[in-house]
Amino acid sequence: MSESQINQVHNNINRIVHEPVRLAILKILTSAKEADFNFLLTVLGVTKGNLATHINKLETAGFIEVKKEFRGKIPHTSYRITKTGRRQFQKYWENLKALAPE
Amino acid sequence: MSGDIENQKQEVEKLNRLGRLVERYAQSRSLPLSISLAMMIFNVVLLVSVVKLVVAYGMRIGQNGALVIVVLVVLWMFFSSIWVVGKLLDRYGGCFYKREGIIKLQRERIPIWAWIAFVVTFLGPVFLNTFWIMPARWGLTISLASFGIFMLYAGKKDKQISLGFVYGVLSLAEAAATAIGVRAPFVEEHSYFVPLVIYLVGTGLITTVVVHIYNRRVLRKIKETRPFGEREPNKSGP
Repeated sequence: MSESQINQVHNNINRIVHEPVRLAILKILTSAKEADFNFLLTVLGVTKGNLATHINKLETAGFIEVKKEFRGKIPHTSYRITKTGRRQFQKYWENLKALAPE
Repeated sequence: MSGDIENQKQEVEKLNRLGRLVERYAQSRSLPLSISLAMMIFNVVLLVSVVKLVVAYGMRIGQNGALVIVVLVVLWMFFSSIWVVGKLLDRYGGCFYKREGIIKLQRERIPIWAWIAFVVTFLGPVFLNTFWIMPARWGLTISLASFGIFMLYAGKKDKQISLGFVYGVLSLAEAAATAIGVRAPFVEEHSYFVPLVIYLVGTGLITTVVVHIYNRRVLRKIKETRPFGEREPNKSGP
């Protein structure tokens, strides 16, 4: 791949997805139907505040949808990837693979 | 530039690995199976108690009364094994993994023909044995084989592959052992119901433990894989 092609791919990269934690969140949510906050914390090993910030960014961008409910008296928040999120992730993933062919 | 590409390559590999591990982890959460096993044991105790009561008070309630009670209990057993257990799993299944969090996978519905085939091949031999048409040994073999095949199929459809695989393979092994004449200890030769329950609950417990150990291993691997060169999110960014 020539340098101009690489630059082209770089320009196409979505800056919201292009962050390791956010990318990992999207990867997890593409392979699952739904995951909750605790699960993402366990898998990613980031702090609660950090995860909340990343999730907020993905939600604001419309990449994930948030479902809040009460289980008994305890609030429970779970996340699903939206169609836009899935599309953007696929696009990013293809770009990433183009940059780093196996 | 080549260093960048190498980094991207490593990131793709790490994420692919993480995705695979997360799927494996979600597919091997076995502790909720204990709810089904508890319901199975409860139903057996209920059935045995009802049969004993019917035998003890049979004269008072009459033949029709006894038949109605037994039919109601059998219907409850069938209904509870599918619907009640499903509801309990939905409501309390996640409690076992509260600390690790909840993940739900995209599941495929088990088609009705599969349920019907399973019920017919699993319960059919029980009735045939009750009316002395089929010997216990062959009836048990067919019931266990039916259960094993159904577990393999349902495990694949329901995204519980590890659970379905271990439970299915163990049940098929029991079916093969029964066919060649191996009997559960302390069980009479013509007994049908007791060995069936012993086999299903026993293999269920073994499956729960084995798959749970596998699940812990996968979780450990996930924790080893998870570092992504974590950095603070860019507050002025997108």
